[in-house]
Amino acid sequence: MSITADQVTVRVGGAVLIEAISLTITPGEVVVLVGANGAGKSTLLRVLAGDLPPTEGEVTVEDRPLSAWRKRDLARIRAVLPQASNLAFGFTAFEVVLMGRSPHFRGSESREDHAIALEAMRLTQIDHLAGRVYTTLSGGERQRVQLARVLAQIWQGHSPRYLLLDEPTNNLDLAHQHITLRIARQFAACGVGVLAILHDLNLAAQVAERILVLKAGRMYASGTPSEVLTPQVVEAAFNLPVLVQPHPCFNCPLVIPLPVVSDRTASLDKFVHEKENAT
Amino acid sequence: MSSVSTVKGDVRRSAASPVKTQVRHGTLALTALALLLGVIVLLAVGIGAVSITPQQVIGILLDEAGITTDIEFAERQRAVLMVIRLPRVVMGVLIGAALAVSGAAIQGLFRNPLADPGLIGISSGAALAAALMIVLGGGLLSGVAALMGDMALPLAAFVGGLLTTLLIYRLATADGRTQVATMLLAGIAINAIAGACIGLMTFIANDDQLRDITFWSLGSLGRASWANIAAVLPFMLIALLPITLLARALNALLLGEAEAGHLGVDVQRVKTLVVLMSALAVGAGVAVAGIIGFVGLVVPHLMRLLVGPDHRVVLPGSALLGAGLLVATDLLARTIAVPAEVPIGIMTALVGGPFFLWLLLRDRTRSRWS
Repeated sequence: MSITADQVTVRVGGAVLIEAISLTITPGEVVVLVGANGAGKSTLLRVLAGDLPPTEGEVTVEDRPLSAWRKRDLARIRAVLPQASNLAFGFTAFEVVLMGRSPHFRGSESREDHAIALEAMRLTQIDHLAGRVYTTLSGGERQRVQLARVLAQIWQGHSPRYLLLDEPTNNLDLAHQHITLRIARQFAACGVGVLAILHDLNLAAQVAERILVLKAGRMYASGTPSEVLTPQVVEAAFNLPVLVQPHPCFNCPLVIPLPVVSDRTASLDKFVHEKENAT
Repeated sequence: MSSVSTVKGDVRRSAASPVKTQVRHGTLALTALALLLGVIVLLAVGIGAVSITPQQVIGILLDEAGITTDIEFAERQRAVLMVIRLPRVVMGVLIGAALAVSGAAIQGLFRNPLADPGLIGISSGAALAAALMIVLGGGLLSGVAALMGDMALPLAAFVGGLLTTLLIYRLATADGRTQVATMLLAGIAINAIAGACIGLMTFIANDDQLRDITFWSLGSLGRASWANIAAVLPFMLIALLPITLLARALNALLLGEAEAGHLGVDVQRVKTLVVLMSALAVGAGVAVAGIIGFVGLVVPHLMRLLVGPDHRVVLPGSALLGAGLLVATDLLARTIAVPAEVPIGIMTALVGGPFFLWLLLRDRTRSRWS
C-alpha cells in the first residue's frame, strides 16, 4: 500500500528537471518535500499526481502504474491540492468544495456529500464563507476553500487514501498555516498518506515523519526531521547558513537562519563564536 | 478524529438548506424559461401578414393531429401556419438552442466567458466552407456535391466549423492553458481570412450563387422548411444531447484541466466531445440559416447572471433561453420593416455587439466574471 516513484527522471529539451528520484508515501505518514526554488519540488509532485509523464522511471499507486488506473477510481482515493487555482466563474465557496465530492456522485450528489462538504469547510474554518462567491474571496480564503475541496474528496473510505499538497500554506496567515498542517496530521492519523511541499523548515520539522530534501533535481537527503535538518544539509540545499537547536517545546529540531545581511552581523558572529566555544 | 471519519446527523440538517434553495432556484428558472419559450412560440406563429390567434394555433395543431375542436379558423391560416410559420419557428428554436448550448459549452471548455462560436471564427469557418461548396459545387467540388446530394452543404459547413474549432484550440492553448487574448486574436485573424475567402467566392460567383452567399453571411431563418428541419434535426440532437451530459465535467473543468483530471474527469475526452459536438451543432445551424452571431455569447451570460455558473442549470437554461431569444429576434426581423425582412444575423449582431462591449467594460471595473 503506497504511492511509489521508481527512478523518476524528467527532461525537457536539454534541461534535466528531476533525476533518478525514488520515494514512497505510505498511508498514515506525513512526508514533506523541501528544497530551494527550482529544485524540482513541483515537478516531482506533478509527476506523482500524473500530470507530467516522466521521461524515465515509473509512478505506481497500490502497485499499479498510474496509466493503468481509471481516473475516477484514482480520484476516489487520491486528492491533489494545486499551488494556485484560477477559477474565473462565480461559484459559491460551498459549490467549489462540493465539487470535491464529484468522483463519488452516483447520478447526483447525496445529502451525505453535502454534509461532508460542509464538515470539510468547518475543519478549514471557512464554513462562514459557504454562500460567498469564490472570485470575491481573498487569496488565503481561496486557498482554504481549495483545501476543503480536496479534503472532502478523500474524506472517508476504508481503502488507503492519499493527499498531495503543493505548498498548502501559500497565502495563509501564521495561525492558518498551523491549522492546515494540523489537519494534515489528523488525516494521516486516519490512515491517509500525505505528501506536502513546504518552504518553512520549522513547520516541516513539526509535522513530518520524514523530510525529503531536493537539490538541483536530485534527492539530496531524506529521513526524520532530526536526521535531515542539520546545519550541513540545510546550508548545502538552500545556500544559507543556519543554526539548528532542539525545539524548546516540541521534540524536533528548530532551524534558525543566519543570513549575513545587516549591521547586526557583529553580535551574530559573537553569538556563534560563543556557541562554538561552549561545545 | 470522529470529525474526519464520520458524519454527524446535525450536519446533514444544516447542510440541506443553502443547497436546496439553490436547486429550487434552478428548477424555478428552468420552468419560467420553458413557459416564456412557449409564449414566444405562440406569439411568433400568430403574428404576421395573416394573423392567427393562440387559440386558433392550438385548434389547427389539434386538427392536424386528428382531433376536431370547435375553434374556428380559415384554411389560409392553416396553410400559413403549417407551411411557413411553424417550420420557421421550429428552426429558430433548434438553431437558437444549438448556438446557445454550444456557446455555453465552449466557454466552459476555454474556461473563459468571452468565447463564442461566432466571435472565435467557428461560424465564419462554417460559412466559408458553405460558400466554397455553393460556388465550386458545380465545378471543383462537383464530385463531393454529387456524392452527398442534399447533405453536401450542411456537411461542408460542419467540416468547416470543425476545422476552425480545432485550429483555434491549437493556436490558443499552450501547456494546457488557453490564453484568452490569443484566442480572441486568432478569432479575429480567422474571421478576416474567412471573410476574404468568402469575398473571393462572391467575386467569382454568378447571380444565383451570389444570392446564396449573401444569405449565408447575413443569416436568415427565411428558408426554413420541414425538409430542412429533417436534415439538421439529427445533427442537432446528436450534438446537443452529449453536451448536456457533460455538465458536471464542465463544472470541474472550470477549476482547471489538471484539477478536473484529479477529480476523475477524462479531460481529453470532454475536450474532444465539446469541440466535435459544438462544431456539429453550429455547422448544421450555419448550413440552413447562415451566420447568426452573438447568441452563443449573450445567452450563457444571461443564464449565469440568472442562476450562477453551474452547467447543470446553465446548459438546459441556455437551450430554452437561446431558442426563445432567436424566435423573438426573428419575429422582430420579419415584422420591423414589413414587407421587407431584415436578416436575423444583423439583428443579433446589433444587440450582441453592444452587449459584448458592456461585458468588457464591466470586466475592466470589476475584474471578474460572473
